[in-house]
Amino acid sequence: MTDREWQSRIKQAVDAEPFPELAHDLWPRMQARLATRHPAPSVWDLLLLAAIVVIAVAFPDMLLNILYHL
Amino acid sequence: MDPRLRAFVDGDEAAFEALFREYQREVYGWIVRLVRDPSAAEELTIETFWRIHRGRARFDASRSFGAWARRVAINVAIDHLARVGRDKARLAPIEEAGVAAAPERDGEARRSILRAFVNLPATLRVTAHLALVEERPYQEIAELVGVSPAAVKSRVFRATRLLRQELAEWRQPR
Repeated sequence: MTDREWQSRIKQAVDAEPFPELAHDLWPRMQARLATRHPAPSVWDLLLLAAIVVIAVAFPDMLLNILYHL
Repeated sequence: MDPRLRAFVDGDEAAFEALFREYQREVYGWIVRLVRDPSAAEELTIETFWRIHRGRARFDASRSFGAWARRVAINVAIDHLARVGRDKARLAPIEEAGVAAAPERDGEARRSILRAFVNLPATLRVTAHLALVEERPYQEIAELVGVSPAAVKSRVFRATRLLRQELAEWRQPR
């Protein structure tokens, strides 16, 4: 069998049947993926961050204690 | 320059959504033919667009979005095939799609070739698919896969040699 015949057989075998086309819109799943990878910080996260900043500014000595307990 | 591509590069989510909706079927089609698994192909289509979204700042808006998407999709497919390995290569589609309609010996031959093909290492399989099945020029494959044309030629040669070795038994006259 020549290389050309061999390659023709490979093409016939691998490309024997068409795969079905995409049946539905993937955008909702894409949106979910984007949202998962970029989670918006919750209000509680922001409040906690604000509290830590306030305590760090008002009571700098407590910063080490807070870091110890984190 | 397509203003939609400029907007996409600048981070416009509406432009990204428009590109996603326009290209999702095409990207899925490229991937499903490489991985032969419709369910995985859906997930890999999303992974492709995720990488596109993440790398949008590096995209040159004066160039073809489709060509870039195809390069990303091929890399995603190679990563997937390398990850799942040969054990999870899917043969179901060919078996469902009526090889039985072919003469028995011909059907057996096709299955043997396909089985050997999906057992190729990921990079060889994808390169061989682009070269032998889609019959794309080596230069184009080199640009898609990110290697030199000589490397493409070498991969196609190695893939063909591996297939010949694996199918040597079938090729003997019975």
